Amino acid sequence: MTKASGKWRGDFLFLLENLVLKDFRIRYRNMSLGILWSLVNPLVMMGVLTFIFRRVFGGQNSPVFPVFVLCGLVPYNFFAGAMLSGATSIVDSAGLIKRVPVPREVVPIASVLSNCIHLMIQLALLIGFAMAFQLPPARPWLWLPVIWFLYILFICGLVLGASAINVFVRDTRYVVESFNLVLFWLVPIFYSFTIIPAKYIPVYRFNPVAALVMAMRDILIDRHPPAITIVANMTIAAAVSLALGLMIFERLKTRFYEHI
Amino acid sequence: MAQLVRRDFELRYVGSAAGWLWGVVHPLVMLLSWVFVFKICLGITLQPGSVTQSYWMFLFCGFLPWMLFNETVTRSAGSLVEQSNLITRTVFPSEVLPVSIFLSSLIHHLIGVALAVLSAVIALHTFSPMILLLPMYMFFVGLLAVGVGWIAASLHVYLRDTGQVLSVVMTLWFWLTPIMIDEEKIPMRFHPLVAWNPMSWVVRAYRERLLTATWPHWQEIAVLAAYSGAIFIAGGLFFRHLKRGFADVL
Repeated sequence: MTKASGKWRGDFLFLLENLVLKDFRIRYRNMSLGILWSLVNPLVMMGVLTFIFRRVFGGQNSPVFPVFVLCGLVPYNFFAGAMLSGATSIVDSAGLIKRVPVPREVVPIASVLSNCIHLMIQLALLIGFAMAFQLPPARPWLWLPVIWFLYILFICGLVLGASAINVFVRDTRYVVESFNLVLFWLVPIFYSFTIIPAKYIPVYRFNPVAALVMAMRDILIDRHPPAITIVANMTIAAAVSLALGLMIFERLKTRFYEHI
Repeated sequence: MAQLVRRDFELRYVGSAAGWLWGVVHPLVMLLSWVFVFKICLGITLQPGSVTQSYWMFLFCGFLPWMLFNETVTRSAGSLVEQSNLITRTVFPSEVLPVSIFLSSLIHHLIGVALAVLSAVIALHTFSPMILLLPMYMFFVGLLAVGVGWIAASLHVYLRDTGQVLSVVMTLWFWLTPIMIDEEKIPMRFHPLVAWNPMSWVVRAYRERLLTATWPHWQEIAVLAAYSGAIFIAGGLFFRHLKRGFADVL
């Protein structure tokens, strides 16, 4: 170290990798099914929702309803999981932050990336289901990496902001929890976008989670590229959230030490 | 015990600027989004013969007891593991944890019930003296929730997967309780599932007590008392049986 203030010069990727793996291991500690839960949870939820809307309430006759539900559940699960573990990430790794002058931004980003491992498993499940329901890969699928990349950037921005605020206002966590609960209903998971009355559609347009769900259904079920307005909205959402998140984080990070 | 309830309540709101105002805002936001989804998007309507024609009130009165039950059970499940310090280091009666969670959720619930009574007066111009019977139903919900909470919490100590299983079970349970839909609209062959579900009795009773001035049918009280008593005792026995191993596993 050249300067006394101690600029951190460690191996950035090594740190990131270790943080991601640590998060991942802790989550399934002491569970007998372990990582399989990433697979079982959306499967069972899909089963429950399909059963309810096909048999109990009726009215859902779409032959690909399971794929339809999964297209909603996978983005929602990722959002809820990443937000919850991301918002508390700084406080949870207080030890690391107090002792080592690592770039603080790494911590929340690592927690989002560790959720990406679950996301990969769930996406594989979704793609498997799509194939099983006679929806083989096609050219529009090339859009999938693009929209997911934008979505992950968007969430990184939110998590950066939320984790910094959580250091000072500890009940950010409860706000995130109730927000997740409400969001389950406001994302078209088990209902279709078309039944929303016209005057409320703009509200959904500005909800990036709903936008991703719509884009996924466009690609996987309707088999055409997502509407360009959706992609544009998601780009704007990602840019705005990342800029705001980084700004909040930069502002607050100098005072982390006293508050953790 | 009083300490635990206070700690649980305070712990959830430390450093909170809005304090327990959050307890008021959360159910209202939830109600708003459910009305939006079920009434406006899915177009669910009420039968002419039901207790009220206002979907808002129908949903509000129905989801209050469900929230109390759901919150108690889901938070109880993880409680023993979270408090493992207390259990392993001291002689601590771990069975009080779900009870204290129930009591702290009850504070929220009472705020919610007050809001429901208030909105019934303002929106429907009805005030039912029968709300004086509500504490009895809260007691039944308490027995049910603590009973189920005991089972979930003690299982969770041994099998950490219980939390995951529980979230699925509670989702299914929610849909099989007539909270956002009239019972009559559920197909005939699923009626037994609804009738066998103690929470549907509670939800129905809450609606009738809050919105109409009719006396409860004795059968309803008998069924609820039997259910909640049985589940409470079963949960207690189950918990006592598994408790012996807690200190080793935690």
